Amino acid sequence: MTKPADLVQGTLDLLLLTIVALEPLHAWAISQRLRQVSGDDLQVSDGALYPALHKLEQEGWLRAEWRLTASGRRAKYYALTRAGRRALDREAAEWKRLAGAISRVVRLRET
Amino acid sequence: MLDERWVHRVKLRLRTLLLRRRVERELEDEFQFYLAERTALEIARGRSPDDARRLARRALDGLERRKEECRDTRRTQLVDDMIQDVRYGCRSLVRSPGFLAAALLSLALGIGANTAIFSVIDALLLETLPVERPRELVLLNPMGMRNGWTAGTMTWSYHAYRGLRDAQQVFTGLIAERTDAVNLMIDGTTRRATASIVSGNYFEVLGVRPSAGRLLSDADDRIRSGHPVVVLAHAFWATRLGSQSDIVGQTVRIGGHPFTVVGIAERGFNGLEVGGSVDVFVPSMMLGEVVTYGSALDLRSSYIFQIYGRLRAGVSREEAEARLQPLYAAQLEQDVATLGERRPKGDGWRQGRLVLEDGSRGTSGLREDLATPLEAVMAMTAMVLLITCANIAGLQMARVASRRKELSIRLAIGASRRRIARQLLTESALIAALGAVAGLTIAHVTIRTLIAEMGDEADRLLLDMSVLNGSVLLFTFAVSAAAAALFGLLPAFGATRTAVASPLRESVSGEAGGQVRLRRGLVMAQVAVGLVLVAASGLFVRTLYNLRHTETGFRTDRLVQFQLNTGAAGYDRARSERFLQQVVDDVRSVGGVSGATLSVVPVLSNALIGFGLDVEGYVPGAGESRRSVANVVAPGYFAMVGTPLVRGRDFARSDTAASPRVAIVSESFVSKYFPNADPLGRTLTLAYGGAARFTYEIVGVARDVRLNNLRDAPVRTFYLPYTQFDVLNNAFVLVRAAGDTALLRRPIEELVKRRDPGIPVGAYRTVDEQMDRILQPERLLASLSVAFGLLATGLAAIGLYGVMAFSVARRTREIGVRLALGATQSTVLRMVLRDVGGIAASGVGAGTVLSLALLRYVEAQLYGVRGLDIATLGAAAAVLSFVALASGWLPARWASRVDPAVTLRHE
Repeated sequence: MTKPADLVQGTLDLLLLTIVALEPLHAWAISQRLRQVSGDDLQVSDGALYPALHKLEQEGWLRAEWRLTASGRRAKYYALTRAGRRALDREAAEWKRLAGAISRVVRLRET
Repeated sequence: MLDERWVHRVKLRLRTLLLRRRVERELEDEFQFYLAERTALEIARGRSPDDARRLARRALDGLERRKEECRDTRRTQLVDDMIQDVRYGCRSLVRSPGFLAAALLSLALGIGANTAIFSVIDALLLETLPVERPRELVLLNPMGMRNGWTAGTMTWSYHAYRGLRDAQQVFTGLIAERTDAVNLMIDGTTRRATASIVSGNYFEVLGVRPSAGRLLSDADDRIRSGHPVVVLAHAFWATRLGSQSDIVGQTVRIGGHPFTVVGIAERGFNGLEVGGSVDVFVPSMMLGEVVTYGSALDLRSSYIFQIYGRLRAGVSREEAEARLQPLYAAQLEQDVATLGERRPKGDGWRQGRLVLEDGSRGTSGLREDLATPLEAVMAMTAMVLLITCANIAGLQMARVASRRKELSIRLAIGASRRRIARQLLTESALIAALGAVAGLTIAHVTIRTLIAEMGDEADRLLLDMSVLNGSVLLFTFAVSAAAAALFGLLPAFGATRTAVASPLRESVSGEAGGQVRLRRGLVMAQVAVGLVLVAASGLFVRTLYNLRHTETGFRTDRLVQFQLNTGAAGYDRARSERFLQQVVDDVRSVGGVSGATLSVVPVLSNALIGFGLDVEGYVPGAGESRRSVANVVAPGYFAMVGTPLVRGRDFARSDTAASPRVAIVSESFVSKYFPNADPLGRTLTLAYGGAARFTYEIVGVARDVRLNNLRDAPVRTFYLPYTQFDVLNNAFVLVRAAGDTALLRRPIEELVKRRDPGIPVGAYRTVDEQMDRILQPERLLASLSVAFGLLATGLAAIGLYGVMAFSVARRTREIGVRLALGATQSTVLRMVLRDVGGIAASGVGAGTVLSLALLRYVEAQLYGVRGLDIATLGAAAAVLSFVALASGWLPARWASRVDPAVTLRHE
């Protein structure tokens, strides 16, 4: 991977769904969490996060809700819907299958 | 679930569309929250607040772009654009209220007129009967000889019905029906009602269900006088009995005889005649109880029923018709056999054929009268709408022309031509939608007026005719959409041709020329169509005038007639005669009455009685009709109505049931039967009601008159004295007032009531009013065509004025130059008027050609004037030319008043 920001198509959706699956979060927290978990390996521009989240919301996989944060500000929290949960399972399985396949291919060279 | 997600999406889309501001604010808030948090973070990392804010913004990589990307995920662009167009259109329409008002008013009138006429056509001509599978119903129309007594439009004897019913194999059922006016007594109150006398299988074959109780069945129609049961029509029960809940099981009286109400028919079913509905259904075996001629059931010569059949599945009308011919021929054979020695000579009668007509829409006298006039009116309203569209298109084009600057700026900053055309079309659609709503309202009012105009027979029609019926709404929608396309497309295309640069250069003359040419074309078309409408209205008005002034052969002034239905009150013949004579004598003694007499047939009502008869010394040719029409009158009738007797004598009081029977015949009767002989002393023989035949001796000859209607030439007629007519059960009293006819009604009603409160004074009308009634189609055509002609001319005038005002404004500079170079005001005036004259002349020319092509189709509706009437056409052309020049006069005056100094300075 030359440029870490170049995510494989559709992977961003999987990342976002996975993060939100743990607990409802606002976009800022999602971006923080993404950075925390993946370090600098996966750099997603904060700006690009928003259209992606809105798309998932329109798809019906995420549900948005305005809530107060710990510091008392209003923020838009995203939560997983049931359809989102199913989509996540599907995407995750697909990813594992794909990743497994790729790593099997890559392992050919090591052996 | 998939649909759960779908619901979620629709909710979001709707939210986007309906809570637009809120969704936008939330989007903004979301990003603001990010910026605030990120800035706070950077400050915590030790950056200056300004740097922190800048960094936060940069992290988003273009706030507005991101927002737009988010908006794009909502996929509501098309709807958004449309909403934007509609809003923009509303704003722009509100900004030109004059245009909006003019467009709406004319469109509402155009659409309203079309919808109104269409609803009448729909109810009268298109709607099928509210029965099961109406398309299977056929009406059996016998085209063969009928030798005897015909009541109204009835065509079958009861015997023939029975014969056909039992022998046929092409119908699942065959039903017979006739209608009669009866006196129906419920709870001690007597009402005039329409009774339908039906065969027992009537409801079953039609597939009509009861809304209460039960309906009639074959078991209710077996034994003569043995089934005193009736079914009420739902409308009668609901409107005239106030939905009385305990009516089923009650006893009512018809013609004095008790009947039990067994049920109420399905809502909406009013018998098989459209526009003349039935109140009560009676089994045919009870005919004798309901009317006085019950014995007619026994006679092959009494044509008292109409027959409908329901075709078996898979049998076509043609096939059924072919298979029924032998059965019909057998019936004819039996009819002829009963004539005995009066049997027609030759075999001509064998030519008689049975024709099956479409029965899905029932029968309707109103339909026959009004079908062609209504079609003509529909064509006229369509033309008015065309003119309206042309007008709005013209106005729109003028608006587009004045908005060119705005449009070209929009084009210049990147709006696509298609988007602008769509914008203008949306505006047109808005106008059309508003026009449709206003039009529906106008239609509703118009229909009520029309129905009121069409008189009481049509009252019933009103019940079923709501404007909001599906097909009418669909029609209105289609008409409005077509109108929007007609007046919207032209300006929209015109506008897209607007070049970006030219209006910014402020030069107007160039391509505006094309628009002006187009608008002139529209105005020309308006003048042309207007001419057709004005010419048509001229023809219809002249027709009405000619009919109104037709020589009837009797004096119609201050003449009143009213009906006394003694048969419906259960009177026998002798009692009827006595009662009628007494009433006439009473009426004569009322102050303000100059004369009174009896006539069984009402004047100008198409009600003369038809008889087949044998005339002494006359041998009819093979297949020749032996029918003549007759009236039954009292002595003194001819003097009273003012029809001179040219030979012989009048009936006298001495002509009684006991004396020899006498008749008076008309001049045309004489010229047919006694061209070279003296008719006096000859005899005529006829049969009616019963089996017996009666011979009358001719004692007088009367002048020909138009008793049936105003349009038809007098037919050969004979008159019988009421004292010698064997089925007297109903008659009209004719009264001539010395002064005001209106003053007579009260005293007459009172004196009849004194004689018998059970016999109401029916159909009280002056003969003038009666004329209005039978001229109803003509009056409808004349008044509507005049209204449409005026409307069309007005619209054409407005259109012409508009295009001329525009053209003068455009040529102000040119005119200024001309005036500066020495042209006089009158030269300029003439120049503009010549222009107007050009448009008018070409419009009138085209209109004349159009009239020549179209007006011959209304010829059947005309009287005393041809479809191609040069005088009418010339007058119409003159009217439109005058209106055109008048509406061009004002712009021409402006042009001549142009101040050259001002115009040139302006440049």
